[in-house]
Amino acid sequence: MNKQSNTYIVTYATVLVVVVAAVLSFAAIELQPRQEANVKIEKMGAILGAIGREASDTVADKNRYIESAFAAYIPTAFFVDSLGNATEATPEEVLGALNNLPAVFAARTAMPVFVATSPAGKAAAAGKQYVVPVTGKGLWGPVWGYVALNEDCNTIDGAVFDHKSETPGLGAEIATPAFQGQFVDKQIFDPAGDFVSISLLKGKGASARNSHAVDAISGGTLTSNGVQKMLRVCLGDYVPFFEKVRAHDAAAESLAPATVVADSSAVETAAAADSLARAAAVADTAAQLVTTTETTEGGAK
Amino acid sequence: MSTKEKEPLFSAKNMNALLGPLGRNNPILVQVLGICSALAVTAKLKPAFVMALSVTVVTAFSNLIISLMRKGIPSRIRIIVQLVVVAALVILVDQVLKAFVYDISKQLSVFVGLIITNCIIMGRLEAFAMGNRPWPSFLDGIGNGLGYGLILLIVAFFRELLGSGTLWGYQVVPQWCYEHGYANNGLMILPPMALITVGVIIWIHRSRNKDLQEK
Repeated sequence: MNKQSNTYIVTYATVLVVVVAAVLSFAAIELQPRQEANVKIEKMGAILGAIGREASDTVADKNRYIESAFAAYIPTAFFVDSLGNATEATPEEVLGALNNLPAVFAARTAMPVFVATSPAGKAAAAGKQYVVPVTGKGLWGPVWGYVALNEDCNTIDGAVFDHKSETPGLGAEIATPAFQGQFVDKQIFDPAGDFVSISLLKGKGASARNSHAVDAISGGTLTSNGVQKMLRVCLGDYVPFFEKVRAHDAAAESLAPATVVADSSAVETAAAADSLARAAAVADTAAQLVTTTETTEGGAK
Repeated sequence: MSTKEKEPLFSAKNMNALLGPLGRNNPILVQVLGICSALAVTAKLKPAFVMALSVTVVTAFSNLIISLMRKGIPSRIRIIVQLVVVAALVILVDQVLKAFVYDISKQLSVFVGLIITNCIIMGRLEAFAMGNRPWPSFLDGIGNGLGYGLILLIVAFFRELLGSGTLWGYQVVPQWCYEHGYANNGLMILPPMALITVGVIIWIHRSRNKDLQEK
């Protein structure tokens, strides 16, 4: 066969490409569930970060910690629409909505809200925090994050941000604890009760005595503007809901599913219960073994 | 693939294909290939290690596959055929990393995809795999991947130690050093110091292998 003929070359290329495509699609389908689980865990980890419950470096199995902590600290989640009406949903469903946030905020019919129980050590009276996602555009690509608000739907308890492709050392600084820590205890409503969001101000220390602003990132002006706009737009979409909660509207109270006030050591308790159950199972097996032995002995006699 | 003239699996020639790239014939130090990713992923040991492993897998298997196919590849489209094979392997590696070490795959981000353009791989395919049997080609691929990985790890070791005071994520510079005024060198984390570190390694390598020095 002539290896330089066009027929040979075209056939060769076609077969090669089909084979490669088959192998790659097979791999993609096989690995997809694991990859999606990783993405979900990452989101759960970010939400835990917003309420100050992120996995510390000492945790050996991060994924397991995140799953158990998420179940323990964030027992409820629901959707709200642009009028502030809540629709009940399972945390699973609400997590699913995070996969396409820009569309969620474009439709404004089912925006996710997570309800977290208060971390120990914070002086929140009743233990409830609302965690809402935010999404927007940075300089080079999307930026997003989660903002945890105190029960008053005004004071920020924590915020995490991440980005796709902001410049390292400049815009990418939004993903650092130093930047995110500034948001703690800032307020999104002014004393008159109007929504003012959080502004990012230029100049170091410019926001020191301003409870509605944080310092922007020097050299990262466009990213900072993006974050400011993201907060204004996305938190703004939630304002009807926040106002309902703030007004202690009876309707809002009943619509927002009641939070189980879990013990702050819920995770540890869960882990302890887990190991107890295992110990019990072992004891059970041992007891059974003993019984069996006794029976056989009895039979032998 | 049976070899007709029964060459031992680890003959001197094969061992040279495997070990040469680790020292005398290192792809980064001598051929100065693959520099771009060597600068980008060496701020910490862990991503550097995963990158080294990924590149080794891709060079080894692309060498093996191309060597198996070498008699059938039409020479007019050989570069494209090589690219398809390399790209397929890189996508596989990327998918596996995303599924099993998601954190690190996020840190490596675009650089896993850019393994496709790593000159070492195409260089070895053209220079070795197209003209040699599968087994030596496979060894040559492993050797070149490891040679590349070795430099990555050396550079990452110094950059992480001096830049972050940690190794493999664990704190190794004790706290009292910081209390007595020691500070991490932030410059080490930035790409320019990777270039300088590679330069120092090349200097040491050249001074030990005098025949590589240009007159």
